[in-house]
Amino acid sequence: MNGEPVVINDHTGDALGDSYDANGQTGAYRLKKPPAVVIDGLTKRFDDFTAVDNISLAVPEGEFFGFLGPNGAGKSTTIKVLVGLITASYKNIRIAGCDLRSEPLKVKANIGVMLEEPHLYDRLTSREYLQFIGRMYGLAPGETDLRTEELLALMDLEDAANKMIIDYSTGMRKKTVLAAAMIHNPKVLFLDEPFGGIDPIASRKIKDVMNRLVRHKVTIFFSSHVMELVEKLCTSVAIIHHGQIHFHAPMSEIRASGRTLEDVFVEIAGDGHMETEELSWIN
Amino acid sequence: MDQLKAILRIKLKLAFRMGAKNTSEIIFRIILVVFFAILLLSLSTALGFFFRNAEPDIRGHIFPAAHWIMCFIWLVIPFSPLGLNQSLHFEGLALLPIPRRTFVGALVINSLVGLNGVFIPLIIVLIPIVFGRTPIIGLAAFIISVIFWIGLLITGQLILLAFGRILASRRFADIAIVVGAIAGFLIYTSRIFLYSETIENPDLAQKIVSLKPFAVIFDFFPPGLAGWAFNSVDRGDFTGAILPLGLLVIQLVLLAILAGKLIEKFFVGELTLGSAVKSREIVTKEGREPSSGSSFARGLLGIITSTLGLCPGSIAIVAKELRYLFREPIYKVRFLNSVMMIVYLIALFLFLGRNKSGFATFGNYILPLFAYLSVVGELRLAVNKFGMDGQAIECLLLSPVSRTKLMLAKTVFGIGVFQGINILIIILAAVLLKMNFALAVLCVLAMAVGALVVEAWGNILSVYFPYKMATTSGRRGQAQFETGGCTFQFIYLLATFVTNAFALPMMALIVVPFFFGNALIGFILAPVSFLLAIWMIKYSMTFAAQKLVEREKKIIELLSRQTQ
Repeated sequence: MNGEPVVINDHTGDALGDSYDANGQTGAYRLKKPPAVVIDGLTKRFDDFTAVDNISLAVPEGEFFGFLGPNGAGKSTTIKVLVGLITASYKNIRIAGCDLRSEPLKVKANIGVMLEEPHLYDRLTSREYLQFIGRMYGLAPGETDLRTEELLALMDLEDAANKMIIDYSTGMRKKTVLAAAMIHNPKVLFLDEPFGGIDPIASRKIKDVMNRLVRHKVTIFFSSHVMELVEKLCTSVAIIHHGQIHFHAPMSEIRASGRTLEDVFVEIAGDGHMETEELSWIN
Repeated sequence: MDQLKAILRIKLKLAFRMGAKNTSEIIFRIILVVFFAILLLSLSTALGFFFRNAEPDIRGHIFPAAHWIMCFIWLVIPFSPLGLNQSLHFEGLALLPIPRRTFVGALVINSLVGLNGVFIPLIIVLIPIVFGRTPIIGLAAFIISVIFWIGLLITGQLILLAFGRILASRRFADIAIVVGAIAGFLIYTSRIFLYSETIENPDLAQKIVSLKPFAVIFDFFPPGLAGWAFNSVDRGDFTGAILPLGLLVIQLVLLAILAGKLIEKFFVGELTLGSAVKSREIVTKEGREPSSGSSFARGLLGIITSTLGLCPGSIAIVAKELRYLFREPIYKVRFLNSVMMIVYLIALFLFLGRNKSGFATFGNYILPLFAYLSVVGELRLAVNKFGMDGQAIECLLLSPVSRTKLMLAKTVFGIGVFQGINILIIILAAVLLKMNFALAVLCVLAMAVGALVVEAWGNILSVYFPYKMATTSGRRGQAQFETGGCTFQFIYLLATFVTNAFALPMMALIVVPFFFGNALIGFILAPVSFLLAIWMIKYSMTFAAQKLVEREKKIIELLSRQTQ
């Protein structure tokens, strides 16, 4: 598949730029940047249920990409496939220029991951956990320690840095995972609902860091239900519904159309049933 | 009433599902319960026939002894990590608009539904079968037992309510392991001591038991009172049973009042069950790495990693395993199980050695036996190398560390730490028991070979049959053992056979010549065994790493499964 052009459809009738080269070398992708994430023909089935149905997508380098969809639409499943945690059938998936099928470890070396329900080594402290992750990514001990301390400060975890993660609140656990996802300076960050349970102060700091990362050509693949957040942070969005991509466009186009992201989302994911259901016992 | 019905329904569902991963496991458990019920019934009937013609004194001793054992088991259960009594979420219930009497009903349901509900009625029915020489005595034994069990049930729930907060804490789990290990060691060694001493002084044990404080405990605590009452009835002295029975009922009433007070406290929110006891803070010194348990452990880690020239990723994994061994109670228990077994055995032979009765019989054979047992004792951890990672296996397999290095780190930890400590214990045993020096060296060599074989099989099986060993459900959860189900038990049994088939002859090759009077042959054959074992471990690591690449998504799925 390498080198073959892949056509991306946004299912809305708006031309997105049509095609690009899977290696990012040539092509006419509208943003004119090489793709950091390329998905071609991804399908994931759980027995009879199709969670992701033949989706194709490209996210250019340095993009803050919002991946939206209602509950059970296939967002988390897609992310888990992209980071190599679950199997799926696909024609081609390339992350940061590496083929997921033939170079899984190279893909893993180039990505940072924060899943919606993160599983950590609970009996380590956050400092030890970050040091562990840093060493796993091959960072030198001195560099690992330096980055660990900076990340702990960024996440406001310094006071709890010597407590075992098992005693952390959900927000603190999420902050630890987010710090771990960033410690090795990945080229692509996959973040699934990263801000749930995180306090506003840390949240603001993290958003600033993310914007800084994007300016340094880091691609962020960001999944969230909070429309305002996506609208504010992301440069482009895709909406997945019933396992299929129904919409993919730059945020600038949505803003130019005079609609909000929520309008677009509800229009696509609401299935045309937006009237509030009556509850028989409430008069 | 409807509320109680709903609570009963949910408790029944929880009781059936507890720890069971599928229907076949539930069916297996039911078969197991039925099997034990039939076994108990048969044994009781046989005992009944035996006791019918026995002296009243024997029945009088057995009745309280049986109740003491039941009492001990019952009161220890809440402190064990089985969580048999903790399936109902009382704090969730307290949020609902239920009256106090329904809450009390929920407590009763909680204590009766489940394994307890199967075994308690069975035991109460079996008591008259065993002890009922005549229908009247059988009826009396039944009544006494019912009163005793009501008290025991209330006490069990009292422990849960009063100590639930502590029981659910991880610090308690840590303390329990240390206390358990020390208590176990003291009990076993004192038993061994008493046994070895009573060979020379038969009255010693009897003298200790009849000391005054012991006598009060034995007579005036519920099992003693139950025994006293039964003894009187059994001798035909019905009025003599009134006093102990009365005391038993008074204790029961006091317990019920205490339980009522605790329920009241729980109901108004003064008492909670969840854990708020934080684990200890990991102390760090300025400019130093956080402690991974002890300086000994850090030193050991340093020696292992520098000797083998491990990559940073592998070192990180070894360090993480070491920290987990010190901090995860279930990991500690699994490891200490095999270590303590050998320590007890060594203590046994040390005491037996004093009067020359047992030691002389076994002589030099015990050291190879200890060596073999301690090597194979680590099999359960060796064949499930990802078991303690549990759901966090995601972190490990998301990393770009080569899978060969990952397997190497796990193997190095298994050999270096688990088997390393075993080898140290065997060396200690050899010194304490004054074993032949050549035999001790041969045993250590054989252990090193055995360790390589065990780890080699462990590598392959770990990739094919991983299961989560421990569950700690968030901040409130007590660490729980996971059994891995019937499939794993079968695989483990098979692994034991296969490992024995390989390890035993290779270890025997080194040790057996000593017993034919030629230790030199053992030393000559040792390199042959070593070469074979090294080939096995190298092959297993390469093979396991390849299979890990193929199966890692499956492994994540298996280890990430929620238990309940």
